[in-house]
Amino acid sequence: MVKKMKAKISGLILVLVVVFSVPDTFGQQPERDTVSKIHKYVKVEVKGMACPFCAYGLEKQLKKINGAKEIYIDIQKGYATFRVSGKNDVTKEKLDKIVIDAGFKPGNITFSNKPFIKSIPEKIRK
Amino acid sequence: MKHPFSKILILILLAGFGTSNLAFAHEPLYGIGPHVLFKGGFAPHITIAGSGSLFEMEYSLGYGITRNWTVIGEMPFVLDNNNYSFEGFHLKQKYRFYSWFEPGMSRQVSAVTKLVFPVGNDSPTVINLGLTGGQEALKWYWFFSAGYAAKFINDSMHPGNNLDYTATFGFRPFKTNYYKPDLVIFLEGIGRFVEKSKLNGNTIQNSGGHAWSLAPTFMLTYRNIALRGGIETGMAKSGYVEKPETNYKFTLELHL
Repeated sequence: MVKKMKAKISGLILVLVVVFSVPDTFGQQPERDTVSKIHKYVKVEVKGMACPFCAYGLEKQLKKINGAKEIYIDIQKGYATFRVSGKNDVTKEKLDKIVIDAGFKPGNITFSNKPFIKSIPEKIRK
Repeated sequence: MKHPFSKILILILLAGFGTSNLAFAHEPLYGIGPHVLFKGGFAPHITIAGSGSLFEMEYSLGYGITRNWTVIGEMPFVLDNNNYSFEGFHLKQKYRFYSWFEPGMSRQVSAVTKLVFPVGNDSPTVINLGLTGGQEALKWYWFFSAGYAAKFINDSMHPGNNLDYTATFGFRPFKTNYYKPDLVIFLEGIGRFVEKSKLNGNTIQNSGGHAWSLAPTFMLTYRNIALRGGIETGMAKSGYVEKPETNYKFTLELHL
């Protein structure tokens, strides 16, 4: 009798473990995979950027890029990052022009399928 | 005397090619700096200034024609002892012809022209040609400027032209972050040399001279909004010019 009870409890625990692990497998994880496949992350080094007021011009120019989201500017480290989704025509040449039009000098430009910063502040996510 | 308007336009055009900017962003409040607006950017300002019974309000709008060339229109109004007057339309332009960019630092030099249209027959048309440059970094700032104002007036009395020059030093007391308010403190040194005036072509000996003043100023920005303010105090003079009266100035500026 006791053995049957133990077997039922063990079975129940197993079912619960399986049930609660399913959403991670079929819910969140695939979404992260999808994001990394269809989104492109861009990092642009910007020389001459020393004040937030002037950097606003860079943000405004970057917003002109189709599909550009999560634009993040780091003045201390001198770069801007953003994510582009869907089909886009983002090229290094186009980004060079954007930085120059904003009044700065472009440095290295890097593309990646992974974000360049660990966490973007919530208010920047759009 | 032939009205010099056509000459003024030619001078402005000639001076305009190859120069850039007006007072923007982290720049001197009483002087000018080399900053230009980003291409396609608009910058409306509203400025209030005053000393004693004098109160001045100025509306202005800047536009970035190219990444190096900005034009600005200004409309100043003055209230003095309950008398309200329009001080004439000002047209400025700034052209940045030199820039050196490094991570977190920029050095720039710009040429500036300003045209002050006359109000009535007794005020002169003024053309101001100037040069300004400086360095802006994450911690320290410095700027210089020099501008010569030539006055044209169809009258027997010709006020002396003047040369204005400034030197500004600034620092940022707190580490800057694009998403937080940013404060920069400046100390501006301002000098003015006024040439002697002329009456019917004859030099007025007891006119003209030098005057110097100091102005602690600040700039507080948050993203595309900037508030600047300061107080100018006259320090010294020589010759027959007045020492600048202590006055205040505040400017609210947007970048759109």
